[in-house]
Amino acid sequence: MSYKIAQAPFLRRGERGALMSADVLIAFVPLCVFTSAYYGLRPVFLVLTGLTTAVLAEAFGCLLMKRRPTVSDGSAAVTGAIIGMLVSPLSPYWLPAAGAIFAIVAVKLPMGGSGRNLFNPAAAGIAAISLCFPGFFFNYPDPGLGRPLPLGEIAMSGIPSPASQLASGGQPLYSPVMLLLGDFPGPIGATAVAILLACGLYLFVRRSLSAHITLSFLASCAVIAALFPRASGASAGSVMVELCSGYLLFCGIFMLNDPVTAPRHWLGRIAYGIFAGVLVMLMRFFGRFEEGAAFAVLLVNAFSTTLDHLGWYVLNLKRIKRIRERRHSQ
Amino acid sequence: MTQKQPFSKTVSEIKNVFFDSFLGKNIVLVQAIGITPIIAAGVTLQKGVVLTLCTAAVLLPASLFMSVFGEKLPAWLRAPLYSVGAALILLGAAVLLDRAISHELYASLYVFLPLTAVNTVVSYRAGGFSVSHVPVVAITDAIASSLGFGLVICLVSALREIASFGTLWGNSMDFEIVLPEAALPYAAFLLLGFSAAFLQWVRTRLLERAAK
Repeated sequence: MSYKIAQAPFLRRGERGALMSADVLIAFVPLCVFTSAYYGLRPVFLVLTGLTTAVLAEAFGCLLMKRRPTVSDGSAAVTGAIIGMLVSPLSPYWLPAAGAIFAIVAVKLPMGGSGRNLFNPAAAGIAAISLCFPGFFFNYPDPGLGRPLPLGEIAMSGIPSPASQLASGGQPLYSPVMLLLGDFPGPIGATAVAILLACGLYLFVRRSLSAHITLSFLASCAVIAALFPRASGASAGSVMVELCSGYLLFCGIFMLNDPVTAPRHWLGRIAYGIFAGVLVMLMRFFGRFEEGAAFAVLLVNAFSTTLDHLGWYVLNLKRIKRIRERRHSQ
Repeated sequence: MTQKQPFSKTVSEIKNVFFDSFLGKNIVLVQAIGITPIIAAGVTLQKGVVLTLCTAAVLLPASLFMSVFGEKLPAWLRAPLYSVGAALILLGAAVLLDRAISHELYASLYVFLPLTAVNTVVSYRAGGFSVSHVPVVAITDAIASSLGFGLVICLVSALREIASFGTLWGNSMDFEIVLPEAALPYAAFLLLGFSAAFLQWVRTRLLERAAK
């Protein structure tokens, strides 16, 4: 019997990698439109900068390494767009470009390019720029400015986001409606919580999103937020603020569901989501930054294959035992 | 009692041992030993050189000693013996560094100097390799291992110093942009990973050429 050796992303019949990437990019459009209502066109240009840089870096990198260019599967475009979506609207244009170049050149291509990367390149890019330039990365503008941000160079200090208020022991005063409508300082694509949820639903219907990962991730975050509330008052308020602030929700919908780095097996996926949720909350409680979801994603990526194997092993324990007994009796 | 590996006393064999330990099976890049001091302390070239010298100062006598007397000692006594010996040498080195060279350098390295005594480089080469080899080979291996470790730590720490402070050996390089975060551990991990990959690339190229 011969086995066909396939390469990630493992697709069902009728699916194509390029279409999955296109789905994710389509989901970014309403998020961009929504943010531009608050901040003008600057966020859109930031996202486009990230996207273009990532595609160019991938094309040049493949040419340099004499590989078949893999730009057409769209994974580089998604990586760049995710990095663009997670920077602050106030950040300079070189910030998403630097993140995208790091993601493609230092993380994706050395590991073997599309479909072989061990770690999520977008998470690595975000981790790198949030480590190297925290002053730019966590500098979020006030959405209540009432006028668009200038398109060119900008020197403006932002206001503390709910995540940083939680981290410094303060009390974020945002009503649930404000949180759902994204009327609070945060990254470009991660504040419009209601639209993010709609995007998640769209991706789920299009089968680009695994409910096992996202739901178990959000559930474990919510349980931890309810058990150890940092904001005073009822635990329901704590859950709401913790889940909506930072880029936790964005990470659960777009980054953890990367078809290359996530486990394939449903039990492994649930364990992966829970593990990621615990790590994200630990990073928030004890980490150096107000939001460490990208670091958490990189850490769980390392355990992806192990969790896959463990899930399969647990479900097939009886069968494995039977085979062992049969071998033993022979 | 362990048997010494056979040795024909030819120059080419010593050369093989040297290049194997120095580059071909580089202690850091291929065997992944002794990474901790590079990541934690290899931030400036000066520190890199000091750590290299200390490693060599500990590894050479420890290797020689273990090669000559290692077989006669029970296995449980070997590790404590060369660790204590290494600690004594390092004590002298630390005093020398503090009094004669630079107090600031000593102050920034004082955690890592004593740790060299129980460094995996020392325990692996002195406790493992040297015991089963004759003194000439053991000394060659100790020199090559120290040089291999020194090459990597100096490369990584020089790059990190240029990137994070814009200086090399304390001299300003007149760079406009500096990246202070390059002194964080992740930069060293990245540099080590890329240099390991580069070494593998060179090795495969050389093997391909040799096969032709």
